[in-house]
Amino acid sequence: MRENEPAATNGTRDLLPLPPAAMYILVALAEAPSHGYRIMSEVEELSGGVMRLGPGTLYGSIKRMVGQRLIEELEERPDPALDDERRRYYQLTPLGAEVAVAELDRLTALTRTAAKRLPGRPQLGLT
Amino acid sequence: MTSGHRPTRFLSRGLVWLMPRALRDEYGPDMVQLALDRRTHSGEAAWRLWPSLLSDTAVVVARTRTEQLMNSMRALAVGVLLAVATFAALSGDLLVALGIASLGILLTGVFYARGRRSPAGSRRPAREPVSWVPWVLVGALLCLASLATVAIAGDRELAAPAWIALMAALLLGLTALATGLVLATQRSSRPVAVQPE
Repeated sequence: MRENEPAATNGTRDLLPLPPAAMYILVALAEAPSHGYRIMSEVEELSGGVMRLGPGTLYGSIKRMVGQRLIEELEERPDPALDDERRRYYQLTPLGAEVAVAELDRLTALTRTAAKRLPGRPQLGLT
Repeated sequence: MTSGHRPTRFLSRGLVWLMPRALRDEYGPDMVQLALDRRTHSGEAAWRLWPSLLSDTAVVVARTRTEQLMNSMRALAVGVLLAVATFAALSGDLLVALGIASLGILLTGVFYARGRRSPAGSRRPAREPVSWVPWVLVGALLCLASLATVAIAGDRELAAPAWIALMAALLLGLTALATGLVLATQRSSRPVAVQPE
């Protein structure tokens, strides 16, 4: 294994690197199941307004990620009393969580290497 | 929803119609709802929302069509080989025909095996399906037209340009037909649904 290469299983490694939109969606779903609009808002907030997913990009990513079993649709809404019944909720699967961690490791390793090699960059203090 | 949001609903419905069918069928209403949510909950102005919806649709459609084209190109390559083989066989060059046909069948086998290695629930992203029906229809039509022309001509000798056009149409028809069959093979080996574990 090369220096700083994250330890990921073969199945997980097949999916790396994740497209940025997919990683943001996984992170958005890390804490609780969510629906399309909330995922979009969360992604926008997480990215500091840089990434605003349009309907096609968001649901295209969701479709792909459901197919890859990174996320799954909930059969029951978390709190039907509070929300619109037309909304579909999605949650992270165990594979999705594993892939998100592996991608985070990969990005961390890249960031660490980049901080060392690029002149004039501050030390990030990553452990 | 207020009546002021009707244009947004109308526009997003129209844009959803342009999306790839698989996405549209599964998430069409959700995509419209998302556009409306951006208008109502985020309070996004129409002049800002509409261009972003248009560019999002353009990106998604372009990406999907490119994926489909790349998928068609592989099938087309095999289709050309099989068509040339058939053409060679028809013209009496059996050895060449067998060689080319073997290559075509080998490539089809590789595509099929790749499809089999991505069973339902595969973690690899599925390619966008390409419809094989138009290829087969156009191919069959061209082949039938060419053969009908030969039958009608009977023993009469055709002029060189007509003969070249006829053979070109036959070759094109065989290519389209073979490409359609390869696409159908790929499609049948592709997972249709993902079953939860």
